[in-house]
Amino acid sequence: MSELTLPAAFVDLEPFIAWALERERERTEQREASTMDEIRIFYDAVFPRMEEIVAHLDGFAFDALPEKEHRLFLLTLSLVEVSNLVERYKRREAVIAISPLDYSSVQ
Amino acid sequence: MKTLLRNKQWAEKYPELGTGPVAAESCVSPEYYELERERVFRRTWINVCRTDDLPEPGDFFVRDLKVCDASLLIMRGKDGVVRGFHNVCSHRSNMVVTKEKGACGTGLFCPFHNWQYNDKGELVGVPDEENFFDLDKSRHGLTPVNTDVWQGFVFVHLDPQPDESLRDYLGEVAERLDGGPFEELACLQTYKCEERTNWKIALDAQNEVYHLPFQHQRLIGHTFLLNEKNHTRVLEVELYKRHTLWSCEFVPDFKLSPLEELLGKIDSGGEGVRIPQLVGEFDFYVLFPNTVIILFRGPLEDGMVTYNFWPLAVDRTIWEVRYYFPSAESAGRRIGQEFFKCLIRDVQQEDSVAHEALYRGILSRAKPHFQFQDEEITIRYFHKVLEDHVGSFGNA
Repeated sequence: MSELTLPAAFVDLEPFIAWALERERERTEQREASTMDEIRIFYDAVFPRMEEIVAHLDGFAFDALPEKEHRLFLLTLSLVEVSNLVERYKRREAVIAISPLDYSSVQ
Repeated sequence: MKTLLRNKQWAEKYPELGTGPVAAESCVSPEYYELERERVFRRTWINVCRTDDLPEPGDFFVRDLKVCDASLLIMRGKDGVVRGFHNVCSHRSNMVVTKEKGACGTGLFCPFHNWQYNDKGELVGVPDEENFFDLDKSRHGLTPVNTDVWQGFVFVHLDPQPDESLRDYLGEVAERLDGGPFEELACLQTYKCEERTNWKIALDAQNEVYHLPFQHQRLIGHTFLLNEKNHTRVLEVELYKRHTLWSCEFVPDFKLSPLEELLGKIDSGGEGVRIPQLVGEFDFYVLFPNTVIILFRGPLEDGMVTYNFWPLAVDRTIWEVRYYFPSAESAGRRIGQEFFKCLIRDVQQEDSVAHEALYRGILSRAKPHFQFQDEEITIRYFHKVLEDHVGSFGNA
């Protein structure tokens, strides 16, 4: 069995580890490469855990998150990344915007 | 709520500005663009970066100011002073620095023949110097550009003899914002989007909230205060010598998205930074010609967004957006910042579509004029200020 990458209390989120991405650009690419169903499954898995996740993360100094906590934190940033699509647009066709990949982010 | 929901209140406040149609041709005319380059961008203070871009002594930042055909090297000397130079070697005018940010270290070396400049832009090394003819290194430092700093914003003025100080240029904006907690705000992220549009069209499109309930219906259509007919009304408009301010309040019954509601309930502790200079809850300053400073109130802490519209050509513009927040001391606070940033980012990706569509429409010349309503008064004023600098279109 492969090594677990998230803190013990959140091992149920392991299937979504591909969303634990360091840079915003990567998170946007992951969103764009995913189907709406895949995005909803990710959102539905992480959203109900958010209060618990943040409470867990806030138990650590933010500038010194351990590796597993850091990955968990990155998962929450991906939740934010997809939240407008899931909560406000609800479907891809409702987005009338330039391609997010034309929007260059410098972090 | 302090906002008055009356119609036409800003025309009453500024009756001399008039209410007639405004010519659109300046947004598509190549000739007018050339005049703007000479009469605006080369003759006023331009914000090029913030001191955060060069935090340590010896650090530099390069701003490619295409509209003035200039590459500018902003450098913090080891004495702490921020200086600006043309990024051009004294030997044969090669670009000295080829990256956007870095540290001077032992010197800046021109990649062509290794001429060496120090942290003050002085020429300190020339390979094979003995083979030159009467070369006095002390007279061949980098060419300085007038540079000054206000509240961490670095400005340059390309005229060797500016007709006013930075302080005079900023005028009422500096009076309003002096003493703000700018040093407590750090740049979380920069975005750049190159658009097929004129720089003024992009700026104008941002310079009002009338469009929010329509173009941004899904994202932030019901965010800023609306009257009984669901049309936006700003709290305050101020027209300064050249700059402008509009300020909004949020609707009291703003419908939060599920994630936003949840994040608002999570208290990660710590006192958030507050900006006492806020007039309303979302203050939008346009610094003529191409800079915007937005200050906003958040549930847990305040923040700032800046825009710079960089003209590349009459029909090409880079819209640079930067997000500033207090440095996050907890994961919870940082996730809240990410939420705000991604929300506004997605709004701006909708805006970019509009900036390009507007350009195509104006270029067709089907409509020679803009029709501005009262809430668009700062756009009207911007075009008047521009005309004061450049000349009106017919008689420029």
